[in-house]
Amino acid sequence: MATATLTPAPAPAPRPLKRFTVEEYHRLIDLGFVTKYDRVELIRGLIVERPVMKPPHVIALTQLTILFYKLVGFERAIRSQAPITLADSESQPDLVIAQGLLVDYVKGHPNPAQIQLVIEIADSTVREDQTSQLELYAESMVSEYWIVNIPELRIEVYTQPVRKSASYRMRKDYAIEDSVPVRLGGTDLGSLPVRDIFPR
Amino acid sequence: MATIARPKIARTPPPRPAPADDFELRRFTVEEYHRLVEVGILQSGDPYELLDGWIVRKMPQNTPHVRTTNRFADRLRGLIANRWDLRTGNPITLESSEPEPDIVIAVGQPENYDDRHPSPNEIELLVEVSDATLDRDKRLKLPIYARAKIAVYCIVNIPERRVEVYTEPRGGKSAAYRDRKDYGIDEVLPLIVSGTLIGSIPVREILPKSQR
Repeated sequence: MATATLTPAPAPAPRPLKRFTVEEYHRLIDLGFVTKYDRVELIRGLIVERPVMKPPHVIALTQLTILFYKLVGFERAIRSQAPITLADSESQPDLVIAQGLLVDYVKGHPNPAQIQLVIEIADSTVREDQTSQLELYAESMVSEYWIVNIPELRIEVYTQPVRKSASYRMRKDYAIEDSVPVRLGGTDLGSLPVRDIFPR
Repeated sequence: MATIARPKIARTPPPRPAPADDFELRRFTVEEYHRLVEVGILQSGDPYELLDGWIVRKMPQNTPHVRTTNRFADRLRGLIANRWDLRTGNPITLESSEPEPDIVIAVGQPENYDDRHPSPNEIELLVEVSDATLDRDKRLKLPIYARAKIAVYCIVNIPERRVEVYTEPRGGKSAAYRDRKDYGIDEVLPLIVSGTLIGSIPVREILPKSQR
């Protein structure tokens, strides 16, 4: 990214900033504004840099992906750090389970109606994942949202989104000795031992 | 390992500020900013300016702002005649910013800037008229102008009814102006362009009649 000549960022950024629509963001990608060296996503019209993954994050993501393939197989689309398209955002959650097959999303990224589960793995980003990201997913009516909370060694499961208040009506926490029930699109698929996800 | 509580139901966290505070935002270079206009993602009339890589929405201008800018520009034009180019609300191009100051006096004639905006070394005087924008003009734009080594930066401070003249820019990490002189409502503002005294303007003739 060509930001080398920029001066150190004063914090916080000035307001109000230009916000891009999802269409404009896609055009920016096509025009080469976002390169293979960039790790960015569109959050509420702003192009934000994604934090670099630390080792525990990588391990948890890999474990989670393997476990989900075992539970879900190829009946659903399992997408890892791939975009989802919301009204004014195109975030890249750590893991997304969407209805249908992977090839169903050749023409476009999953939207909230197609998404059955969004998972964010949080080590340095717990606060953001519990607040701004949670609000974004709730407002977008993502039906189920998990936070793999690495510092607290627990999985937080949020369900029953409320668009108006941008919150989830239900939160259930699962500790290291628990198993998280996996129920997607009304089908029970088994459960996932929390212990198997966290790096030890 | 810490003792872990059994699964429990808790409330979701309370609302929080907009997402921009949490994340490192993608910033844009001047070239990229021009490109955005070229491809039509930004229209040339859109109320944005590039400030230190951020595409910031400009504040809507209220009547005192517009009138003060016009009064000041008229006075300046009367004094400089056509020895310099006087521009109002037009962009200037800096290293990582493309602001649109209220008034700029640039060297040469308007035709010099047919195919580009003035760059810092061509700018003799830069004016921001501040009412609602005072904070932005002082905290955000002042370091940008100082870093660009813009020789004279004038803030027409409407709320405090004075003109602040900043000179001797110092670049670097904490860019600022070394010198500041304030001219109150009863004082006369000397107009110095390229080191020469061109004339003077009573501050009273620039500022709005009374504060609302």
